Amino acid sequence: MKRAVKQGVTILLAGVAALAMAGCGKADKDYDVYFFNQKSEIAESLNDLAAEYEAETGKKVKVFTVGTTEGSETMRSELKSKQYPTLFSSNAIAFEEWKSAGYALGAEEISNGELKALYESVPDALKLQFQGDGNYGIPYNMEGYGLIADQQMLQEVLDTEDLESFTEDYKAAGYEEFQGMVTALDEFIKNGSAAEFTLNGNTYSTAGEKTELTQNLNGVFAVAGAEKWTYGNHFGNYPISTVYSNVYDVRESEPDKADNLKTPIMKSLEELDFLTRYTAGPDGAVSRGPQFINSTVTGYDQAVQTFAEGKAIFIKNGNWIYANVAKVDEEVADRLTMLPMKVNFSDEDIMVEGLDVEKMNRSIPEFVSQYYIVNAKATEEEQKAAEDFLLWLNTSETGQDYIVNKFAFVPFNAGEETTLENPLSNALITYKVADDLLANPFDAAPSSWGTECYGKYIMEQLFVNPEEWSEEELEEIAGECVDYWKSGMEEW
Amino acid sequence: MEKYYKKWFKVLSLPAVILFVVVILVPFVMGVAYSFTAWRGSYFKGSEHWYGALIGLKNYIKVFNSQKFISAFLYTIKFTVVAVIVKNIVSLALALMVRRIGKGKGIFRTIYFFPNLLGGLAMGFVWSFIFQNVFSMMLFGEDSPIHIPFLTNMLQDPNKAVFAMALMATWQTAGYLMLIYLNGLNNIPEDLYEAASIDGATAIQKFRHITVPMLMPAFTIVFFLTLSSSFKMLDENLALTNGDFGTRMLSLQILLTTRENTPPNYGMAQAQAVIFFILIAVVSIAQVIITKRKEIEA
Repeated sequence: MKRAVKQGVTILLAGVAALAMAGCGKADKDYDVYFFNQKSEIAESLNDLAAEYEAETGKKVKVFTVGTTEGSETMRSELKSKQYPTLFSSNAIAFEEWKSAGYALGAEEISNGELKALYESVPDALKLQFQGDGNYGIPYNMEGYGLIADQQMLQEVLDTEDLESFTEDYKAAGYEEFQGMVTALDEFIKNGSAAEFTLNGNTYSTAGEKTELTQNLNGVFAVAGAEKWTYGNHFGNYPISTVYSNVYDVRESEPDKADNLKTPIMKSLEELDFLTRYTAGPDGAVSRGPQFINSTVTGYDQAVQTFAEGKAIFIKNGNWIYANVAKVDEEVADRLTMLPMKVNFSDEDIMVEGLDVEKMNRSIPEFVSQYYIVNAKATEEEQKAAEDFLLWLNTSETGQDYIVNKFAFVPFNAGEETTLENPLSNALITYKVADDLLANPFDAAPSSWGTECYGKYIMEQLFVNPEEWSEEELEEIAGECVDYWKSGMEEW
Repeated sequence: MEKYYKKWFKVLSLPAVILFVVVILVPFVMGVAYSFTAWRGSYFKGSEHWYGALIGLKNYIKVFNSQKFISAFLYTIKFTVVAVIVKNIVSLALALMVRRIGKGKGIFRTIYFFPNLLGGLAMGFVWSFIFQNVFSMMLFGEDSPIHIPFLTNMLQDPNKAVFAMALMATWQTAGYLMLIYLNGLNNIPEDLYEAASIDGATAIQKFRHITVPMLMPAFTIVFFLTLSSSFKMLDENLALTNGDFGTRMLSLQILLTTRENTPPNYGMAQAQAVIFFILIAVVSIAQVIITKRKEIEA
């Protein structure tokens, strides 16, 4: 009987071994290009595009999409598998991992001459670099954020048809004038009476009475108080921008450079203290306190809805909210415009060369969300196929049509002639053409600084505090934020 | 039949052993080894292979110096103490109640057991709504008839949040633990109680001197389950507070370690996982030894 046992064991072991071999053996690939995409918004259109590519060239493109936080975890294991992606995507910061692990093909190694030229046509500020060097990807698109408003709403609140001169004056205005405007708007919302303010020295006045559209207003700003990233990351980028010129500057600088952040951080908190006194809510104005960070009242979707329903004049957010606003009210979505956020800094606070308060006040941060990267560990043949597809995607008529119309992307090489359905995206192009751009260095902030430190303090200590925030408290928080930044850098 | 099992024991257990080795043992050993390296997810910093990136105890030193880890550790202990006590009291009370019910016993058992079938994360978001909206605004808020400050904004204070999470965890697991207690209660011979009654014992005396000692095997199991599940809790923590307001527990801390830095510091996360494993093992084994000692035979 012992033999029977032995036989049984052998058979089982053989079975397991065979299974294991099958798992590790050379995989049969039924595609020419495998593209791992990390932007879920375009997943469907990307599949359509792959079908068109196959119809046109006979080459099969397999597209796999995983967005948000799980994206890099899935991609990590995919890249290590036998059926690895030959083309993948990454943002500028996560890229360090893929490059260090040897997955990124640089522009100089691209064999397709036309594609190589496309790599080289990417403006320096948008290039995907490693340790401040090289050129490893083609940008998906441009995204940006600022103060978003409904133009019709602005016209009725200001009782003027001429938004163009208002916009010009607004861009030129400083922080004090901006504060004057906010208090005047608040007075109008509360009393429905005319209030005067100046922008760039020119006097403006709110309407004398409310209209059908403006009577719903209950605050100046819609704030997603329960969502740390909206202020932790995007608002936090303004103080960071005074010290660091871009993501690579953050990565490559000495930790002590972060000491310069302290004053800008304090000033940015003072600004938030001011802004959050004028917050609109779903059912009437919201004041700071526990409800201010209650996700059923001030969650992201709720804040966008409050804005889209005309209960707030402004919302500080990015061009991506177009789709969410359109879900609530398509007409409002098509009337959106983006103004720059005003900053509470002085020229002495700004360390970045070529930047001053005036430029910050008329600029909006724009950045590349994802890049296409060719897998350097793929075989030469696979790389060639991936390169051909990437070139076709970015230069063919069909590809261009998809980028602008189906993906609704602002192409990285967009010029004045590019127009999109999303008015916010068109606004981004206007700022880009005028070169009124800020970088997005918060992306490189160590240890999730935006949400785990700066945004966390704002939410846990400041937003729940209805009183005026004391200078000592703000100074302490700013100090902690600098320390956190520095100790986070040690973990790199 | 027994003979059959005896003869084929090794073969029959082989698939389970192989699975355990492949899915648990190998990754575990690898994980311990990786916790001594500069592992960054896709690569080892400074080398092609893990043995080239060995950095000794550096990850562990970093972990013990990490404010986030220490506060997560203390908070986990705090939660575990509260959760184990509350879960045990509630599930034992439910078991005692259900046992005495004559009609509709099945219905009550089903109702109490039901929450256990629902997913932790999804229910976490439902409870988050309950705490933030129903509790804070509708039931116990300032404008409502019964104003109980302790029950408002429970997710915005680390001490209140302990009870909020314990409340949800109890609601979810009490029914399951109740079944274990019920089984234990049913195994206590009735004649013990009869004899005690004849001797004139009160209900409390019967509970203390018959029910509790006889239930010890059930206590061992329930304690073990509640202790380790409270220690390891992730879903409720993530969905209810996401670790805000100093409520980050160890599981969430390990998960977030891999997300907070780019490139992700998997080596440091792995070191925390090893410490986490040792902690749970020590606490659980100590508990089983202690409660086992108190078990008696009737």
